Amino acid sequence: MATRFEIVMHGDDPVLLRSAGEEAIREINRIAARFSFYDPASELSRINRDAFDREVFIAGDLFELLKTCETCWKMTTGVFDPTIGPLMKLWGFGAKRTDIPSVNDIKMALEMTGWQHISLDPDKTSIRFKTNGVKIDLGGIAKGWALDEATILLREAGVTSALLHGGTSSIVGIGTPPRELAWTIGIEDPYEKVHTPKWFTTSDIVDSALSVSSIHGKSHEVDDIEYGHVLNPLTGMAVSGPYVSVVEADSAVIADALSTALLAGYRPKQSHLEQAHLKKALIQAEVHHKTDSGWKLIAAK
Amino acid sequence: MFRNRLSRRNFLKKSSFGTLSGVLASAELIPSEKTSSLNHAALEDQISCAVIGFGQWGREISKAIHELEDTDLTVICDHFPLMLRRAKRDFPAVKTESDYQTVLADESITAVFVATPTHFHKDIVIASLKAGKHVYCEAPLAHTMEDARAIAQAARNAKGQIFQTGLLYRTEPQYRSVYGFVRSGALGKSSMTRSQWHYKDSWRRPSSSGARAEALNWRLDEKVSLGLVGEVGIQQIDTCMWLNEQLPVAVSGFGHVAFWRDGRTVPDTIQSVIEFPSGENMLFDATLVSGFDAEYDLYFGSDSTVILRDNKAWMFKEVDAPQLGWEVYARKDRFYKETGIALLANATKLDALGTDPTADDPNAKAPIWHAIKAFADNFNYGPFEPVVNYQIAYQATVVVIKANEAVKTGTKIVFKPEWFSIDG
Repeated sequence: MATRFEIVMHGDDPVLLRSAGEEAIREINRIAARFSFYDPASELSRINRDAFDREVFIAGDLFELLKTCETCWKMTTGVFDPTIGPLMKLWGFGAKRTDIPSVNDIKMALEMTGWQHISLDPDKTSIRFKTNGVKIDLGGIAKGWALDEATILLREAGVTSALLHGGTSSIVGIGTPPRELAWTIGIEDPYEKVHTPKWFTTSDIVDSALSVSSIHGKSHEVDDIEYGHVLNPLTGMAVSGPYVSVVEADSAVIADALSTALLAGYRPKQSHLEQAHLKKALIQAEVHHKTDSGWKLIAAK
Repeated sequence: MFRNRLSRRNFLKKSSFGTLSGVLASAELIPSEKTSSLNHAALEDQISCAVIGFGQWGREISKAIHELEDTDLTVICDHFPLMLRRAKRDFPAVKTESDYQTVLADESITAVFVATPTHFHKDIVIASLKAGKHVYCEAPLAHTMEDARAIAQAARNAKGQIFQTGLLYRTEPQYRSVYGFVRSGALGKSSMTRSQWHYKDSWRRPSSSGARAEALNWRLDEKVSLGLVGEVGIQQIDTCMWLNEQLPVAVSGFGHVAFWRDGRTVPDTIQSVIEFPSGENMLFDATLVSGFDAEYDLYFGSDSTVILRDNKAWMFKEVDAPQLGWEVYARKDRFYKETGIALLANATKLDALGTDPTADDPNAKAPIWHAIKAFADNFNYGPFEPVVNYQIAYQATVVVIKANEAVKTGTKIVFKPEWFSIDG
């Protein structure tokens, strides 16, 4: 996941809090190693390498995560899709470029993209790829998953007030801070170079998760259009706006998946609020920051 | 219990695997081992395994058993319901059990992996052997000489049953490769070993229940804990005993609570000097206060020094050392102002295949995977004496029990030869 995780905890027993935090961080590190797209020896790499040739048996928790991916893929009618590895490689956001991929190249990458190429067997907790070349990249939701797992451990240890985040974009609040009604999360303007005390927007969370996605950061600017590192798996095109989305949900993994999907064009139906334990979904409405006209509430309970 | 399990199925399985690996070599930088297409549950000659103790390490053992095609993770046993809930989530198809006696009474279970706190090993291991199970026991064997002896005696008397212990590096391919390298004299005249284990951690496990927290934190209870030198250091100390092919003659120790002043008496920082008859002493230090430079072993010699870290190894040559024929072609890595020659376990094989030994190894497995693979191979193709048998485990356990005594008392303890005898 190559990102920094932090935990803030409140309580009467600092020894317990410290040990609980250590256990949570150990689990996060364990997940980062297991689900790494880049480590050739990780469990995820084993799937990507072998699952077309043969059925791969996987641990129960990884299977649970893949089932969550499938649920989100269905709910977003394919806009959230962790099989975008070939497309990500094609767009190459790791390096600067002044053009965008050709229609033909995108078409070829799309043939290897889509959760419909994945087959999960719940009885055997196994996975199989139906198409050669498919690669699963859990980068969009691994942080959220790790935070959810860490949250379970903290709660089991008796922690009742804590804030966890991964890379400041995925956040979980347990309970509330002392003498406060909620954890107030400030969201920065990704284009604002100078720090100002005024937040872009804020969100109050209690026993819930928040995910912020942005196209800014790893992106290409071609003909004055910024193509961000969020891709629409249905068209193969990089997203150029809206440029920030925020989702609040019961679980961080769902919030992560849907905040990415919001940028790529997904708009939740009212029924999704219940299905995904979704509390709120926002996007920054305008494409260009300079003509910013505020936030648009997409859905809310 | 049946042995000599090189069945036709197993023979074919292993043969086709070897062919497959060879064919794939040309397609990738380093050939990837392919996982089996066979359904785990359908394999007739898989070893039906039970893991007793589902703490942090029991979870890793379970994962390795689950991954190996030779072994079937059948039951996980722990007397804490929370651990069984976690086990069920990680391995939904696996049975869970709270009483290890029930596991031992189950005739379908062939092998038992004991990953409980050290002071619980004796009763479980002896009962498992008595029940006719093959046993893998975590290291150290026990927290007292009496218990360690009782386990070793039971293992010796259990003819035809595998008894292997978790001294991991003796079955790890990279370490085995370095063993051959060192024993061939590549260090020149060996002078000393320096090993460290540094990890910033309180070593405390959390629980919302007081009684549960006490049980979980047995490593901080000086009545049953062998401290850092025993619970952690045994792996590196045993490796030194193995590479030196000697038993130590004395051990000195120092330790104190430097940072984690939460009422504990078990030191969070220790140093130990383990003396060998040849004078090639080992300096081992461990701390929970600083994570700087993590874990490694340095074997110093007149011609070269070898460093082992992260299951990798490098050799640093002295300027007056003779040149070795192969080193011209070897991969070299910079370490500050030094240049290390990478010692790769399978470098020759990779080179012969026209592959790049410097690429990350997609087949890399954790040391515990190799340990359990060795156990499974013994079951399928043995019987042969386990690489880490009861004698080796007993001796290593004696060394760390005495090392911990030395740390606690700040004294030097001279080993009596009879301590290393299983019969006393």
